[in-house]
Amino acid sequence: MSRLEQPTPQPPRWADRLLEWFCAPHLLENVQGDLHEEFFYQVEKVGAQKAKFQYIIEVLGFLKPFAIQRKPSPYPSSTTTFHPTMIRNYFNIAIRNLAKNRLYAALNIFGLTIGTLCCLYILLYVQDERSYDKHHAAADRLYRVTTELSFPDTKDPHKMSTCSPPIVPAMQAEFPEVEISTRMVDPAPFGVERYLFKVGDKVFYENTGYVVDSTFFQTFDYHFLAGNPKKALNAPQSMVISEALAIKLFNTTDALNKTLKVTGQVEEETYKVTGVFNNSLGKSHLMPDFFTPMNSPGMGEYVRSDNTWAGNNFLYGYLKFKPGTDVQAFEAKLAAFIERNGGDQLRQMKMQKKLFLQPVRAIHTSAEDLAVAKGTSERFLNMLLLIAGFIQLVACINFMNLSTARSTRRAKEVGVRKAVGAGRSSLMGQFLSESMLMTLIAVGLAVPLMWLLLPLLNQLTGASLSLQLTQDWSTWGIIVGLVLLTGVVAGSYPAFYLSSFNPLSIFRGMRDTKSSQGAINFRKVLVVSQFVISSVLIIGAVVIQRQLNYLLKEDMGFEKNQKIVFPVRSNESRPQLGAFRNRLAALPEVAGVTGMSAYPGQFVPNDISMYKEGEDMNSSTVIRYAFTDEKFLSTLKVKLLAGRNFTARDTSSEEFKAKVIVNETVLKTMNIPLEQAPGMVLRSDRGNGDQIQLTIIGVMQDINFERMSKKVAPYMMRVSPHEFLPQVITDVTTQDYPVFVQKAQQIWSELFPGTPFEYTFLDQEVAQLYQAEQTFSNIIGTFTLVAIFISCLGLFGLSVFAAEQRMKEIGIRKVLGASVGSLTSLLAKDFVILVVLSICIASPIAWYLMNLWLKDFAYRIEIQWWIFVLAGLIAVAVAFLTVSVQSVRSALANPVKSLRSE
Amino acid sequence: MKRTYLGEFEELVLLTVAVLEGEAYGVVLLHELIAQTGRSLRLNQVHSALQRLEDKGMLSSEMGEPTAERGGRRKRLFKVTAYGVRTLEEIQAVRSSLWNRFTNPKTDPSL
Repeated sequence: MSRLEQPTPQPPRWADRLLEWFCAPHLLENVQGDLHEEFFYQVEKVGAQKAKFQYIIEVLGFLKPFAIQRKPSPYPSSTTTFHPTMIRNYFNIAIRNLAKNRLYAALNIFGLTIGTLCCLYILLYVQDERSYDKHHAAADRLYRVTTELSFPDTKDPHKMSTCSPPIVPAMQAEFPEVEISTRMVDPAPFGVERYLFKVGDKVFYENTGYVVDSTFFQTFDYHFLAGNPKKALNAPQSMVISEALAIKLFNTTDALNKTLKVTGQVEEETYKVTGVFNNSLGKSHLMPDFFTPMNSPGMGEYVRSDNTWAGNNFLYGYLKFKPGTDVQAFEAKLAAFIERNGGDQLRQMKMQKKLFLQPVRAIHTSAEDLAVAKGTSERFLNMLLLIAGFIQLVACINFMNLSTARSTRRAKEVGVRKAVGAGRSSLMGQFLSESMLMTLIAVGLAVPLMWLLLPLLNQLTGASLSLQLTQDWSTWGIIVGLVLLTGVVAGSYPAFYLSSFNPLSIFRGMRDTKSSQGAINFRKVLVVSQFVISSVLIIGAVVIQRQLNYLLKEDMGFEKNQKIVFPVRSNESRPQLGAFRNRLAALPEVAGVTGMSAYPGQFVPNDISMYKEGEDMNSSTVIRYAFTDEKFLSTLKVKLLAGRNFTARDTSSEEFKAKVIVNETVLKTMNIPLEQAPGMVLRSDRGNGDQIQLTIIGVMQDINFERMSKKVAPYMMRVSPHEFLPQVITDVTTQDYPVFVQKAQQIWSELFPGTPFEYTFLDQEVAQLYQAEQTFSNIIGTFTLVAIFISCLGLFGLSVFAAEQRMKEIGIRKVLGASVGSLTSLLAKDFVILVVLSICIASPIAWYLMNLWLKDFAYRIEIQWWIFVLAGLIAVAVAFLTVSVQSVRSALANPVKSLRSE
Repeated sequence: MKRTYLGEFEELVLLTVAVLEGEAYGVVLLHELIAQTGRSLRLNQVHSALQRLEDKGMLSSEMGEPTAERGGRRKRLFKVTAYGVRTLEEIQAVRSSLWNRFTNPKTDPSL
């Protein structure tokens, strides 16, 4: 009995499924039938278990071409989705559709054009920033030697992109992997910010010139217009200049063998031009106005004779490895290398030194560089890319929403197409080509628009991009990639959704309520995500702007407004410097004059390790110092907390070298109580057994010499005679700067007739420190506007659609006595709720992101609650205004019109 | 006319279809072939041979009646075409003529 109740054994389901999947449809019935028949035969013969196993073996046996191969379709192949005829047809239909729905087309294209414009610019900008130092023939074999110093009492090691003079030549001598090496010194931080050039009787200032080894142009590839790169820097007093400088000095690029006189690091010297390079070809982090050889007096002589392995980390060392060198293995050998050569010196200096290698290609975007040519950080570029992606996404969402919202109108079209035999894939192809066409038009508009707006956009980022469509194929690659990506992102959801309609229910007039409700919800999600992006950007823009304001306006410990700086740089001007200061001080507009070796905001290259009485070098603190005079505190309004100021006697007597005013941070780091500080002696041991003693005479409050992203470091001011303080700072009482500057120029030209007149404002110099933040703030601000604008375009489109759909309802409500106000709020309510929701989502995201950004600043603002409220109000207000335009219009419409027609 | 040659297994299948006289389909053929030759065969081999023979024009097929043990699926019944019969006859003729000449097989004593 029990046997009968047992279910009849069946072949394994999964094997059957597998067969159904791979077997060609026209063979399946027969094959499966035979297999089943055989299975039941085997069940009788050998039992269910074995039969099942055999069934699986049999199914797998059919995994052969004869069973898998499909029968060719009997219909002509022109109906395939991607046949040229069909694609032409898709575009035809797309154009007709756009022409029929002008408003939607315009909203979409407008949004996409603006999005594409931003996106394209950022892509080009990022590409440009990443193209630095890629043109060298051996770009992937070029490395820079960087240094990490650690002292016994400091926690974080001091990282530098520079190294000591003898390191790189020793590497070349000791390691066969090094093909060639070169060193570079930028004399700018050593007080030579500018060079005075004399050609005949013409005088020029030039900013940047690097002193390099003669192997420089064998390591790096520069595009020479004249001269031999291999020999150009062999002779002392030779000079390789940029094309721009050649034209400026000699009015020609053919400047070979011309001579010029240069005053810079040393007394005036005559140089001979041995090469001219094109400074616009090949971007590099090393792009000065001119190069001079190390084989010269002055800086070069110092570098050549120096054998310091521990200190003097001021020059940049570059290595070119032989092909196939394992750089990591090489880096590992450097610890032994530095110990072998400089171990004794390092122990004497009580410090440890590690050497690292940095790929030259990555230097420009690493943003670690201290002095040489400012770069951007990879993080900043990624942030930009992210923002660009979001902007484009916002524009794509517009397309998705507007196309799916109008789905009811196109449902019939889809139904008819399906009824006459369109496959789902060809319908998807049609909708995708619609979005593709839209994107094409948008890009077609964006590219010339960008060409027009390029100067404006460049101002925003501080870049000098140009749109080179004919020379640079990669630009085309970016554009095509952008079109494809945008088209697919924007079009895939509408294509998927619209092609899914069931023709039967469309013609019966039944709306598939479940799926359309799903689509409406999805639309809401998309709108919310648009406004989340916009709100995050609004909050970000507000926070960044406020932080920037804080950085610029915050009390830095000194007064920077109404300070005009006159840099007196040339050595021949020095004897007259005192006279210049006195005559400036005599002007009625001037409240005070002081001199400094480097003013706040400038790089301060000098530092010294000091320890207090009863301790030794092991517990020393690195203190940075600048030279100034007795007028420093009064001119820059710096508060003296204890002790006394310098006096005129200090500056003129020989003891001046031993007296210092330290800042509060020095006391804090060295554990000196404020009252005991004046009169305390600080010491430093030199390597050669000498000892330096400095006496604290006063304590000043902390002032920010550097960016406020850094905590105030231990600083001290030392005194120096007036003629050694090249930065003359005047405290001006008048607002009428042009008149004052003219008077100053008068004095200048009388005292320094051979030197071009220069001046700068201290607050502007300080603002320069925050250039990156300024750029970031500009970009975020602009993009916020763009994102809001595009989101509102979409919202407007949706509100128009909603109003159209509810036209009859509004008509009836109006007839029954609804007011314009209540109708408007009825229509606007749905959208405003979405925007409020998105702010709730955006606030924590923005809070998190902005805290991350602010963390980099030692001095920063708090993110206050009202910022979120403000951002929310802005978003809601803008959204409400957008929506209510249409709402009010439909609420005002005559109900007769909407109710009359049926 | 270009002759199409048959493989050994194809020939067996063709012959079996001819023997079964219109009642030949996959499973029956499989069982018959196993019974006659004693080989271990699998359905896919039979199907593949049938398909090749049909492509060569030596077999024709039509769908038969559905049966319960096939899960209501129809079976494909095969018949030998005239061309198939002629091919079989030609093969038989070649074999016979060779066998006739091989009247007195000499056995190799070493074997």
